[in-house]
Amino acid sequence: MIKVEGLFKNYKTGVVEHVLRGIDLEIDSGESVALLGPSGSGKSTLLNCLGLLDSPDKGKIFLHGQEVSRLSEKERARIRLTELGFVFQFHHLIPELSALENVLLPASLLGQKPTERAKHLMQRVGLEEKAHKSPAQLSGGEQQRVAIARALINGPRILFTDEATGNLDREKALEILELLLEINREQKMTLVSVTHDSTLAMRYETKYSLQNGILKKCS
Amino acid sequence: MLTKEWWLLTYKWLFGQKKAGQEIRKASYLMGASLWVALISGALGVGALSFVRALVTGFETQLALGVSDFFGPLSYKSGWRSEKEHELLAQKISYPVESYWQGQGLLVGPKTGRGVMLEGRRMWGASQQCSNLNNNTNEIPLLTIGQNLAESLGVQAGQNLKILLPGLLKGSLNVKVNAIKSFGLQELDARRVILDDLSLRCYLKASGKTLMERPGDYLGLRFYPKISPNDEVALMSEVSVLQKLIKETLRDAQPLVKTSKEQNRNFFKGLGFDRAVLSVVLGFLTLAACLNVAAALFVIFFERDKDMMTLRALGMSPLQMRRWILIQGFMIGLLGSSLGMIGSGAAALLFEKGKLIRLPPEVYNLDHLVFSFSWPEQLGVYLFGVASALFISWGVAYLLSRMKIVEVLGHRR
Repeated sequence: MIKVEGLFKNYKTGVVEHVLRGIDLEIDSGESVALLGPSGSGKSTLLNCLGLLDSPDKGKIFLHGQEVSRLSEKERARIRLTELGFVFQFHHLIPELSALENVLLPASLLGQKPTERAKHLMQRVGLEEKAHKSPAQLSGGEQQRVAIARALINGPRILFTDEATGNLDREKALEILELLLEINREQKMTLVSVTHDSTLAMRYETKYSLQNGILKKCS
Repeated sequence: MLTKEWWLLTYKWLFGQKKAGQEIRKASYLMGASLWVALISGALGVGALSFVRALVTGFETQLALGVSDFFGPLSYKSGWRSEKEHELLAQKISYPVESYWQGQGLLVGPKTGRGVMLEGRRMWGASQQCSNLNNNTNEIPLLTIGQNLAESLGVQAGQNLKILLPGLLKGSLNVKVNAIKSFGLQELDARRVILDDLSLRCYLKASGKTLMERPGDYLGLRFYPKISPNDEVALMSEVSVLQKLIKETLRDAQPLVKTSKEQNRNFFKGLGFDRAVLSVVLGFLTLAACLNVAAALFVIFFERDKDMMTLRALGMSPLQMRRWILIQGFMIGLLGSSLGMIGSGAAALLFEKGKLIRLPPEVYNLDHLVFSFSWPEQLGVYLFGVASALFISWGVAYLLSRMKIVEVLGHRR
């Protein structure tokens, strides 16, 4: 479960930009949540704070009851590695490695090599036949599927996606979204996605809209 | 983190772009170029250090051999003792032992005359009796002189010279040049001569002459154990054995046995100082060359910062990232140092075969320089190269691991 209390975040780029202005949020375990909003509204900033990639200026974030907003970078990295998964708009797969090796990379940070699990995940994202291909030999949608498998390798309880379908055509975007939601349902894993596409956001259980740093739940 | 997979990934990350079938991107080109600059500059630094160390060590080894050839590996100044005392000590030693005395002399050759430092030497052993010398050599004392002296006197081996020994012998004496040697140092080759003491004594005895009075028969002893003059440990061990023996036999409470290097301490100290200065200067240059490793690591990072920061987002800790960058720096240092060592070996071979380095003949009487690659020394150079790259990489790793993930991945970059 994710709980946020009075979250503030400012950026100082010449003038102070108030990106998040007192966000309060609660997300249940296994829930799928879409964060909607126009470009520059602060949804990625919120996601970064929730995913422990960035620190809020003020406020508290709780993950499964533990306050995580003031942890050291080492502790945050540990939580990201074991509890959280990320899929970004650009997959950033390592081009020198095969798809399967890319999937195994986060596990190797834990000193593990769960090859069978990686193969199972490749199968789950529909790429078992292409496990040994390099990312350059895969299409954009397939690369994003590998990135999803990579995000799932350490068995995270929460998966964050930031415009994960933003770089794909409509058909591929829907396929990826379906895959994410299926995984969310199967594994009862919390899914928090940032998107600016309200049509895609309709597929999520809960939708929030962020405008001028204020978060509102959509009906 | 230091698993086989990460080493393999690092290798592919650094060197495997083209092999991975990627189109050659700007990133690949920049990374490749900066990597090669780092490798070549590191190799040049390590290579120069290795080359110079091998050169100086070779030079020192050669000169030590020459000096030892003249002075003997070990010497002891007994201070004018009798023939009997020296013989008694020599009998207790299993390897060749020579007694010597020193004096000034004047050699007169066909071309010119030269003042020399004369050393009369007698090898101890059963055959060292006048009766064992053949008739021809019995007539005339035998002389060993350096090459430069022979050239300036205009004399060749087998020819006769006149020698004057002021304070030792009245009148002049005919001596035969028995051997012409090169000891490496001009000072030895041009100014020192060795007179066979037994042949001199036998000649004087046969001709009814005697040497003028001296405090004793011999000034000291030269020892010839089968130990390389560069094997300091074995020499020092033999020094202890000899000191004990001398104490017992000659009743010298504090016998001073010296190695040939110690007898030429100033020269070898000077050489050691030169070597140290050169090593420090080249060490700094190597360190400066290794700064290119930092440049390469920065380029690699900034060309692929999103890939690296994605890994950070996926849970790579700052420490793990530092280690990964250190692995990259280590690999570059290892490869650069290896290239440098290979280059240094190849250059040394070329210079030695081609006799490309010649020394000033007025100082050193060496035909050309021989390189000596002593493995502990070269291992030190190699490790220094790798350690320099690691040291520089540590600084880079520390700086880069402090970068914030959102600064790279965020939209507000």
